[in-house]
Amino acid sequence: MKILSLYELKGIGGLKYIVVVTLYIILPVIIFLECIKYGVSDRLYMEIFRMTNIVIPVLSPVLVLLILQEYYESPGNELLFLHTRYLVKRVIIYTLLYIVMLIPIYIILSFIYKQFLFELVRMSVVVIFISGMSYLIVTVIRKVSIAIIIVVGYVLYNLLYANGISVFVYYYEQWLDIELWLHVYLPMLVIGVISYVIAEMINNMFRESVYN
Amino acid sequence: MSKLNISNLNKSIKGKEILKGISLTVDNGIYGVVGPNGAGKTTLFRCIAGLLSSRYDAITINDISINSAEYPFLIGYLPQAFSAFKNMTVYEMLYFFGKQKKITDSVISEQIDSALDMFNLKKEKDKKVKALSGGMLRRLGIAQSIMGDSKIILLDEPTVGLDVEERRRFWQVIGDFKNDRIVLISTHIINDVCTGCDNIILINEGKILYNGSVDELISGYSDVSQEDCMEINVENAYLYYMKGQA
Repeated sequence: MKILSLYELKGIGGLKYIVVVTLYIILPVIIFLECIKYGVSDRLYMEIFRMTNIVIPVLSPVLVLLILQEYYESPGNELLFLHTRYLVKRVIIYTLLYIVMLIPIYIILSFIYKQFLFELVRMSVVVIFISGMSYLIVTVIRKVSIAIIIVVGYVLYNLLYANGISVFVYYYEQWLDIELWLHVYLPMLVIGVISYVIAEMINNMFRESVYN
Repeated sequence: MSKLNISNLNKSIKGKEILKGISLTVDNGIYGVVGPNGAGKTTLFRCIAGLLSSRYDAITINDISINSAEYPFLIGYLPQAFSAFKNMTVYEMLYFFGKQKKITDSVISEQIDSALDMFNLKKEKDKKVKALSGGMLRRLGIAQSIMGDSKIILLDEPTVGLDVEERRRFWQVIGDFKNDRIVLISTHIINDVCTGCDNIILINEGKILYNGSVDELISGYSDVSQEDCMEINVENAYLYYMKGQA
């Protein structure tokens, strides 16, 4: 499975580098420039917080969606399903891979602000939620492009319009207290996991309609 | 000796009955599956490949049910068109499918080299799939289908896009399998059937009209006795059967 995943990653082409380049080049450069601009201050913390809360959720389903695009939209895709019954394994592997990619970023940030270690946990929950929802959306709609639009729309909604504590809102600027964990992030994690299960069930029940 | 057994297979898609009580028993050999567009050839292939749900005991290979976990590993399959993971190289693509078929590390390289050699793809080994021509892509598809320990090879219109030389090579390679595997080839090209198939299965409107040798098909059609060309004879017999159904 690990070997197959490596080959699949290679097979999806250059778009996967968007994730790597953004996380490890663009994001650090912007953070560095802001460090110079604001120094270590509350303002810098908020700037980094906002930026990571936009970039990381938006990028979170990219690998999953690119792989699913091959499975759902490529000509003759039935061949890919000949020996593959459960796509959820792949979705989980690529989601975990993305979370692993986040670890060095948050560890480095935690040297400046310790809170970012908690942020890593929170963001991992958000990534699992968005990844699960993306898998569900693609399974139902069968169009990866629409799933990407929905994810971007969801992130923008969070940042621009969301008010009050809700399970479907991940962006809170206040300190992560137990209430937020219980009322928001725990249910979000559960919904994310349930999304994987429901998407997989739909995928198996309506597999025949996927073949191009 | 491999044996494929299909008993009373019915399949409807979106409320439309595509296969109507198909029963078929075949053993080692090369079979041309011929029929007009929409006859049910691809659906039949997908059912045999286990890609479409069907009655669990309707299809068996060597008495192994379609519902069995080992069933997919008995199948080699080429869809009508295939172009996923186009950024893999030819070698990687074959490795990917080989691994999916659970071919062990000790033999996979050997099998890939052999498949590349058979289908004249050695020079393209390190080329990306997206850089291949239509014919090369088709050969790659056929190459992956023969890898592994599959008892049945299902090829859906394999010769489309192949030039004359490659078509000859294809029939030569496939001919080598006729004694130890079942090869089902869906085609519209009657000449293909004459060239490489010992047996022919005529299918129309979801029903099998004829299953037997090519020679018997021709001899069963009395009006062709004066014809010399086998291709025309088979074409005439084919049309005769199709009209008979209508």
